[in-house]
Amino acid sequence: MENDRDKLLDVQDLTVRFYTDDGVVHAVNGVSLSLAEGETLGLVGETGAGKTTTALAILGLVPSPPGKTESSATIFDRQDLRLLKESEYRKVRGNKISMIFQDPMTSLNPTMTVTEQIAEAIRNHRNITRQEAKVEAVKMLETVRIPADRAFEYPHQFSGGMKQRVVIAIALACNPKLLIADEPTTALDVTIQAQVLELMKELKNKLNTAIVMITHDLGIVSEICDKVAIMYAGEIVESGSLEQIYDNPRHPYTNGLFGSLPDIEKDVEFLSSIEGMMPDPADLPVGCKFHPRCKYARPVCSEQIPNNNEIEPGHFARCLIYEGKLPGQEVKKYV
Amino acid sequence: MIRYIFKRLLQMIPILIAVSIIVFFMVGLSPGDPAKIALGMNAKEETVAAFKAEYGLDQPLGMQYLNYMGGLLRGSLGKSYTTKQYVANMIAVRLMATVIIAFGSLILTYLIAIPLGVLLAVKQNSWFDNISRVLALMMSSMPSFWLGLLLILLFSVKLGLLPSNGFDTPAHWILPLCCSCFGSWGGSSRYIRNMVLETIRQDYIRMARAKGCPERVVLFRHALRNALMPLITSIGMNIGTFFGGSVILEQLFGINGMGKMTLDALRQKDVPTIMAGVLISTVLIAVGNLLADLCYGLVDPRIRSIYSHPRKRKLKKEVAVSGAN
Amino acid sequence: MGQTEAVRPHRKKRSLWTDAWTRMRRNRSAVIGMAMFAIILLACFLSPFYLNYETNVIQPDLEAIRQLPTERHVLGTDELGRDILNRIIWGGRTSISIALAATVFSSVLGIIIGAVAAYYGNVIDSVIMRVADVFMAIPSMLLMITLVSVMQPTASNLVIAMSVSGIPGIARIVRGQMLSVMRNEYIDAVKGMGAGSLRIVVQHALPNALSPLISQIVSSVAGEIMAISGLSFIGIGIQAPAPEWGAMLAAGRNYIRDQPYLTTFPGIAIVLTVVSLTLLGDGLRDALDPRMKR
Repeated sequence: MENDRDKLLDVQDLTVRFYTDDGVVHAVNGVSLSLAEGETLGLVGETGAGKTTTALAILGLVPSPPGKTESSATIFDRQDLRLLKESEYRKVRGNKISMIFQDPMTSLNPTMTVTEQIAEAIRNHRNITRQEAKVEAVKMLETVRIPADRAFEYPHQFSGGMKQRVVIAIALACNPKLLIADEPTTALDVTIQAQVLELMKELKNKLNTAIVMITHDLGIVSEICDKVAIMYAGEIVESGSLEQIYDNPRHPYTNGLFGSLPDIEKDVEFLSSIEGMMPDPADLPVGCKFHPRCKYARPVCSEQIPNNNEIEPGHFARCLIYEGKLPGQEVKKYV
Repeated sequence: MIRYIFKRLLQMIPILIAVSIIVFFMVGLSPGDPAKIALGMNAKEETVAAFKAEYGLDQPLGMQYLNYMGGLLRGSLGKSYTTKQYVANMIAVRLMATVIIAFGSLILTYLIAIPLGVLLAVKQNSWFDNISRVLALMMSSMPSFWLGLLLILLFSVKLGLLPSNGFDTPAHWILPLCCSCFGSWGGSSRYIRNMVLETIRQDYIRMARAKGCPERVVLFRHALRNALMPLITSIGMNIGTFFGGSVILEQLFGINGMGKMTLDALRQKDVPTIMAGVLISTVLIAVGNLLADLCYGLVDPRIRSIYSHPRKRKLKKEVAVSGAN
Repeated sequence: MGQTEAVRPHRKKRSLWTDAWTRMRRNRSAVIGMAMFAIILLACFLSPFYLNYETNVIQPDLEAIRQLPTERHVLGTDELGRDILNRIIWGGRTSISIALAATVFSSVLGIIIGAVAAYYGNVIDSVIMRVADVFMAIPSMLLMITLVSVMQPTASNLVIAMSVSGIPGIARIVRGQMLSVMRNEYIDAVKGMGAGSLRIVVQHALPNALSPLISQIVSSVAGEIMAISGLSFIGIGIQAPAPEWGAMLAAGRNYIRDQPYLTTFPGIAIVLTVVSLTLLGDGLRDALDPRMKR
């Protein structure tokens, strides 16, 4: 139990469903995550795997209706987030937990200056005057390396990279304990990506902020993360430390992800890719959700739901191979 | 800003000239002799000739147009063929009624529709919202002249509360204004509701929530302000509709306004009066549109930067920065 | 829009139109609107088969002036003893034909003009748009009144007047849509494949520019019906003795004190027609542009 005390965030069995006219969309299905202070978790998966919805659920921002969020525990900073009233939850959002959204182009309010938008976040959680908040906000902008003379401009006067830095400044304005970054670099040019990542690393070291880094870019994960969780169709299929996942991927899906990456050191003629498409979350396959695309799949995979098997300490994979149900099968690295 | 307004006013001039040409020649080339209409069919040949000479109708149409425009430049709207009054005087008496109906209903519409629309957006899919959907459909499907008849029946005939004819006292204004607003209350409040809901789905609204903004702030500071932008455009376009609607309402409520004046003049080929009616309506609508665009600038900083001079923009920024540090 | 990625399920590819039709059928109010309008259309356009214009519609019956609804005259009779129901049906035929004709003319011409302006750009575009500006500067009701007054108030002239005042608006919308569609990369792709300009416009740009316009066109029929009744109400639309809803309202107005039903039924006829067209238009909008649906 000593271990649990150190956990900053502990989510157990998180489920999010959307009840729409066209049926129930199973966006997140029993996701468990935990994170200690200062740690960085990479949440990796394809588009539509439920990463963003997981993040919104932690922030209590899943739109309801049509969304419905359930979990057996959502503990943050020794507080059960499920029990919070909306007004109390608001005090957590942007203060102790904050989020960087995917698209900086649309994440800023076009009718407010960037300073106003940062100051608003500060004033939501600290009892200071408008003027003081603005001074703080300008300092915050300088932290993310935006010169003060641009502080009173509007978002449309900024480039994409600068907008993302403003978004980061808003997220960090109240020194959050947990920062959820939802693909913070996807919408940016490669050179700007590197700058933003550098900035985040620096802030992480300086402020000891825990980060959930949502991405589909395995390169980013290796650069910044301590732990990795691979998501597929609303489930975490494999999780472990960065080394465990990168050196020893055990789930066929994870393995497929790495196999589709080009590697300078290896001389392969073709990159392998994972056949097929992510299943429709309104119509998920029975049994293992990955089996229709899995090259190791046997009939049993469409009947039994795999458990989260611990392969080595701290390294879990959700695959029937590790339950001895698929005799003679072994996941070969990167093939 | 001043430069921008000036530029826009200058742009209006060619449009007005084109409108004047179109209307003048359309009316001028249409069958019927205005002199005969004004004097009656039995008028003597000499009287007609004298009338034509007095009003310059004996000249070719192109010359008549130039004469009219010359008069306009000197600030004269000419004299009506039928009433023999100066058109400027006729308009002075009638302009107010039309302006009250057109701009009054514009203001009254949005004064009620904006709060209502926001409320409907907040209460999305409640019974209130669903009833409003049906009600709005009914309201906007009712032609103003039928609604006017029903209102007259109820408030003037049955209850005897409000006058139904004329435009002398504010009590006279109530029925025409309600009549003119009724349809747009329904339509505009639904439109505003949809705009607010559309805005609420934007990423920056989610961002505002993630910052910990209370729902009230999210709604008013973030959503409403951005939802107002498309709304202002639609207000600008509605000015013309209210003006057109005024023609019918003036007829229905026996109001001596610009619409009725123009309509009567059209029936009698009274060119100076028609021209004045059309041109003044056009100018008023253009000014209304300009005002709407200026409001747009107040709300949207992206538009605002068009108005201001680049040098001034930089200056403003410097002041702001020194103020903050 | 991160959250929609999870909410919107991936579906099999179907054509835009079958997809829209499926959505349309599932939309209850759109189906109601469609059914209402179909009934109104049938009743009005089959009327020559069961009504005689001379005897049923315009012949005064001095025995039965301003009667309340009876068995013989289901909706009563008007100030000259003519059957109100018959007049409403016959008038509807006139109003709806004129509205439909005006909509078709203004849409077709508006689409062509708008597409030409968008495709050729430069001088042609600015000339067309300046002309549109001039016509849009005049309030459309006033423009219609002027046009009808200088011509004679016949049905075809009404169609012309209403079309002329409708064209600039549609042309402007089409131009805007076309310009935004032409910026899409697939247009470049088609150009790259060597398609001719007419083919690009007709086959690739226009269909994509038009789908948001279709519902607007359907709804505008409702607007045209209001406009023509309005014109008739102030006495410059359909002329007596031919019936028209607005004209019937204007005539019944003098008897509002004692026989308000003279104005009630024509009014209801307008509202029902406009409601059905609005429901249909909204349904089409939701079906063709599912993003707008909530």
